[in-house]
Amino acid sequence: MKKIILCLFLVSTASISAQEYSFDFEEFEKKPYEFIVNFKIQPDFTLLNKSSELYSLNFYNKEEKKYWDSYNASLEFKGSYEFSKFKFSLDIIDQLSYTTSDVFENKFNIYELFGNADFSTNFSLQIGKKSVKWGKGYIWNPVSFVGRQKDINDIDAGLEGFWLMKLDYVKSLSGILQNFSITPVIVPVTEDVNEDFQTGTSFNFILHNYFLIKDTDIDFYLFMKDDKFQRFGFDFARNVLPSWEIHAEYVFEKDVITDWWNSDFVVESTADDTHDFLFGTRILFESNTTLIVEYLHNDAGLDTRQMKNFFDAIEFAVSEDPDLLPIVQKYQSESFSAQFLMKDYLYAKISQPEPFDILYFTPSVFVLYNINDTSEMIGGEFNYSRFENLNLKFKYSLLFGEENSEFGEKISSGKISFLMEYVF
Amino acid sequence: MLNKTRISKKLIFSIVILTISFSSLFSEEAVEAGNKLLKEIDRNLTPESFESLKKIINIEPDGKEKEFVLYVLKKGNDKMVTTFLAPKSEIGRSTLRLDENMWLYIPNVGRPMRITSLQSVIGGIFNNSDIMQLDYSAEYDVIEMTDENNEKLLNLKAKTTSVAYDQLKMWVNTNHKTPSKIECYTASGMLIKTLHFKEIKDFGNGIIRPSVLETDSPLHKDYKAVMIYANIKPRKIDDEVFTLNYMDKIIDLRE
Repeated sequence: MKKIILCLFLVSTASISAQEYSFDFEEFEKKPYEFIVNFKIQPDFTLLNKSSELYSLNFYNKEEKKYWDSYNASLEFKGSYEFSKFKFSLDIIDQLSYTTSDVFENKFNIYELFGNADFSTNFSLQIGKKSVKWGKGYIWNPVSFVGRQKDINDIDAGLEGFWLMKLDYVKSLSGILQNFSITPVIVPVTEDVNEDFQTGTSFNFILHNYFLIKDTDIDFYLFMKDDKFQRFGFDFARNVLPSWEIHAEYVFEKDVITDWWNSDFVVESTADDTHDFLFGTRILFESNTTLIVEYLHNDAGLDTRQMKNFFDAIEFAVSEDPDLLPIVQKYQSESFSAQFLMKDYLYAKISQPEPFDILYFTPSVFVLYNINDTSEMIGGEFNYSRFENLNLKFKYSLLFGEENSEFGEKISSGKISFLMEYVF
Repeated sequence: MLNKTRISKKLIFSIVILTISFSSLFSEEAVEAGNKLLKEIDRNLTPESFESLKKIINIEPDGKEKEFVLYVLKKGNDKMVTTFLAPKSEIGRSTLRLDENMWLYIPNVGRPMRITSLQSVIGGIFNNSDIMQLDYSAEYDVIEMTDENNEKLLNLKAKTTSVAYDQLKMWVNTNHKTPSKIECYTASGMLIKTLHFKEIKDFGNGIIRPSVLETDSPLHKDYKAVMIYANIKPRKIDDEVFTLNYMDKIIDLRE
């Protein structure tokens, strides 16, 4: 009897052990269609800066508020269907938000809808609405000629694409030049298509060349608008040491129009050639801590005098001349909503994956320092991805700055958000 | 008397020189044989150009598990690309290794960025170098080979400082000429992790190798990670697949 029990025990132990490492790989066989659905819930709580100029502008003749809550939910569907050498991809998103002032907003977007044809491993063609992201910078990518600029509050977020035609030629070689690619892109702009890509109707041709030379990524970019040169740029990235990466971006652009306020509260426009650049580094320390440091120069950004003039214009409009309000509000929505309003910034971020052996937990802190007016935004993030297909994120940011400074005059002085993301 | 002493001194000196010469000759031969064995081990583990699937299981001290499934393509000594097939939240996340260069592509981020071999794209004990292991003979030289308990013990030294582990001790199953255990050390001699190769399996096409790789680390006590290999198949792959342009299309290359 004892022997039977022992045998049964051994058999059951063996089956558990075999089960422990089972791998049914057939369930991962290729199917012609694939899809995933991404569901997100994100409540945000914002502490308003009641002494700021932007608060006085946005709450003019409105009920005063100390906090601003918004509750956001989104459902994103990403799918594809493959047929022979062709693949059709779709990425659509519906975003619902509810704010403190009882405003419901529903926004539906097609992020991507394109067809891809692989003629060979060297040649491929993509036609449709596609998100294209270029550049080596973490916080800013001036070379991203075909993409939208990323949101500094959510750097890794997916972005809506543009309608375009993109051809890719890639070739691997042996020697100093390890591989290269040539990517011409056409982006047409009409009244109804890509209207937020460029002002007015235009035909835009962008050429991107990539080279991997002696373990260094090097890219060149050219932007032609209606057969006229508009922008040129390049970037590079390289590991100086296995755990130390350096990168840089540079863009020259012709006739960039900057709208700014003079001391008589009139908006002036100037057109200048600009030189935007960014250089940075990413270091991985032995403790597994990653440090990212970047300096960026936004040549078309405002200087401290132009910023002060705008804030003075708000104060004048709110306190003395309400007729000026629509002009100030229009300027805010059209010219004051960029991610980097002034010229020079320093960004640093430290992240530490799995501290104290807490698997799938990554805390990080960052600072974005405006060198021109010494104002700053400090924030952090706690990311936890322990549960399958569920990602939890807690984010906070605090803004500091003197009167008439960028972060000192923002509508908020702090924000916390919680994100729950489930993929199925 | 004086002559005898001189003769015996000369004799001892000659014996010492001869012993050193023979032992160095012998150790050189052993090292050469060790490097040859290491190349055989590489070919027994994987064909020169192949595709495969890997399941990685991170096991926490309380027994909780998280699983990842990767599709892997490798060519030659220096080219490898992987992409996640599971869990759903990671699908499309790809890594590319070209010699000592490594890049990570995250679909939302939409552009490849450089990473290092010591980071981990999945968390846990396996780092990028474990997940994207190239041929051992491409990264290491055998500096010593000895016999130990019916196995060969190879002491390996990294060819460059960019390799994740400076030294390896590899115990080799002499029947199948595949590793049974590997200890990974830093340059200062600190043990970082131990890899245990288990469950020898016939994958077809002459590939007979361990199908399970278990790892533990004194730096992460009571944590464990397991890598299970499946569907290892030789495959002709164009070099262009191992470029940044292809990182968002790796998932489509499954046959």
